[in-house]
Amino acid sequence: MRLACHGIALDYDGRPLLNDLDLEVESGEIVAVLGPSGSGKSSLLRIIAGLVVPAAGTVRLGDRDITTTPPHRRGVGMVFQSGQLFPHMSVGDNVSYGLRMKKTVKHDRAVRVAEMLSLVHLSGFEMRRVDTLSGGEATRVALARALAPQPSLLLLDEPLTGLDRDLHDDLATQVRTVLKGAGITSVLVTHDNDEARTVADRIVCLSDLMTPR
Amino acid sequence: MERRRAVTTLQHYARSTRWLAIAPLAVVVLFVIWPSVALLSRGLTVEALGDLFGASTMRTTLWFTFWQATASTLFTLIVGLPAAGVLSRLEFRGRNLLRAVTLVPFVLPTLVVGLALTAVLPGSLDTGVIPLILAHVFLNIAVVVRIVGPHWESLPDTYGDAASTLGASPRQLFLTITWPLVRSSVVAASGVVYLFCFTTYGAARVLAGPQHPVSETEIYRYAVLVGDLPRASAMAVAQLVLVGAVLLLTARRSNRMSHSAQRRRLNDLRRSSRVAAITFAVVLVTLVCLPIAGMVLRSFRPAEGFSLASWRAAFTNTTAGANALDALIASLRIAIVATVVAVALGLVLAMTEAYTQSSFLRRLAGGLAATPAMISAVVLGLGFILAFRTAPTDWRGSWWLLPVAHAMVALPLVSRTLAPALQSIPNGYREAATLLGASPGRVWRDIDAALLRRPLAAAASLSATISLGEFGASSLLSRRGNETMTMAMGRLLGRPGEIAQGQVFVLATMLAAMCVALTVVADTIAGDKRVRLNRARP
Repeated sequence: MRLACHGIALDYDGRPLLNDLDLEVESGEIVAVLGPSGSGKSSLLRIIAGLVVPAAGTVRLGDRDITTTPPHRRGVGMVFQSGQLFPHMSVGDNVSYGLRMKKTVKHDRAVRVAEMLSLVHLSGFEMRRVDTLSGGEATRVALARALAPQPSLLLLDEPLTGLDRDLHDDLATQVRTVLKGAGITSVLVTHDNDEARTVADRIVCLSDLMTPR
Repeated sequence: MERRRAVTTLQHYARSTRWLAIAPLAVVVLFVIWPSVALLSRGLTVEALGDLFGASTMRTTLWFTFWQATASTLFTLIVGLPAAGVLSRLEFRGRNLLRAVTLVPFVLPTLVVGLALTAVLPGSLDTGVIPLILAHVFLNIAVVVRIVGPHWESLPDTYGDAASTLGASPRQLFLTITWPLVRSSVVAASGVVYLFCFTTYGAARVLAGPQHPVSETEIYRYAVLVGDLPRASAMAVAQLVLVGAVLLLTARRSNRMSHSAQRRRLNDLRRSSRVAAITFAVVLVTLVCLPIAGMVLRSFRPAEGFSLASWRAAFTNTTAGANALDALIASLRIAIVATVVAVALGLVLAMTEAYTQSSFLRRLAGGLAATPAMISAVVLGLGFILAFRTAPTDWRGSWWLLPVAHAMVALPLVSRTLAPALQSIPNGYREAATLLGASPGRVWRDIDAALLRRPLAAAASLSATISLGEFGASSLLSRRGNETMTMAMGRLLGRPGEIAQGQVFVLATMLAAMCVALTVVADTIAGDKRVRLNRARP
């Protein structure tokens, strides 16, 4: 689904972090937003997700204005920087959490979870405890969890940061394959040029999205 | 563009819990602050204070209380610091068991510990200064292990390695690296231990003997036996001031370091250190187990040989007071009410502290939860007597006064269990659940409540244990007809004769078993799905 952000502004500690920002992403397109740390990339994603309310601006998804929609009703998925897998649930329960919120029936949930886990090459991991996963596995579970309830938009907040080089490159390719396979509109923020080039269809710099003041 | 209201999950929580904090505020004001004020207005009068410093007996009492607490703290450190070191720096088979054993005295009521010591000490030594100090060491090793241990455990070996390569001898290494890094936790532990020893009551009632009253037993004597409330109040105020000073000096600074345990295997130690460590562990286990075993044995041998006479006598109705079964039921009823009250208030305060955006509310909630820790249980009981005897707060005959007092005693510990647990839940979990479609209420249930299960079980068992063994407030608020186990023990203690003594040991054994069982059960109920937040991915 098409994403359109217009005139987004956000202050942080009293000084403007984002200013009159515009971003448009076509349906099915993967866009990477590049910028140094502290530049407001994560804040942009959190505004799109509804976790942070902008001082000004609108967020549209498809033909809906979702600027005031609460985050849990937006249908926007997110892969967090550090995974944020729920430590008190198994891998399977983590992946099926979004399906439970949609009140999907039990049998369909199990089918969907198995499908998602096989998509990220972790078939059979349903009963594993989250704290036994390696860094790469945790990242892939986080991706599967975010995709399971079929969100209309997926946000990825530096999902591969902190993994070692070889794994990182390998996973970047995998992420692109999975996203393209699902045909989902995605916004990836990262400070890593190579990662952006591997995963995204189009790369933009955060500073270019804003009107200079 | 108009400004819109922010709607993050935390803010949502803060908004929906904003008014909840009124309940604990009202309760703490009514049942801690108001009794303290009533006490101060009684004890801070010119006559009362003049009396306090004029009467040589009171000065003697305060002086004795002060020096026995100092000596007890020193000896506790002498035993407790090596214990913390062995348990946190060394890896060996049975380490967890040894740790569990050293923590047992912590869950035992002080009255029970006092009795346990009389069971094993020779007759000439079973009251006086030495047994009192021994009891304090026994009770407080766990405090040192629990406060210093985690700190010491998380010291990285690499600091020591670096110091060694720079030419530090083992002794220099300890003095220049280890000690400076664990010092703050040792100070904090000493403060807590000193506080416990200064306000000792249960153990002192059994062990100190009439020649060596401490301030708490004197407050009890003046208030209950002599009926001189002004003098009891003056004593309580003097104690409040002295204890407050220590609290200020040792207030715990929170500078915990990263939390990954670094242990060396016992076999890697030099032979001499290995022998020393093993010997110490054996001494420690003996020190802890001997009195408990002695107490249990005494309940089965009132005179010569093995017999169930004491147990039978304890469960038989007499005219003098309730039997052990009635006392048990009364204790359990009070413990349940106290636990519900303490955990509910502690949870609300922890939620307010964790969710609110206002730093004023946060400090208020933290302060309210800690307030009852400033006064000892005996002093709280005295405050209750003074505050709740005139209308409109004349609640002398109310059955719920005692459980509420117990809940106030337990509140600081409950809140210290719940608040950090709630604060350590990464907000990312809530955000992730929200984006997967969970409403704020659902997020609270699936994340906050689910991750609080274990701390809640711990808090509940802690407050039940405190209530079951509570003796200070109970002995001031006791009244005929609803005698708890500790009250029954207090009554039987004053009576001579083998039968009464045997029954005391029966009650003490039952109480000890219940306290240990509660702790073990709470550990296992919540332990099957072990959630350790600090082990989750950052």
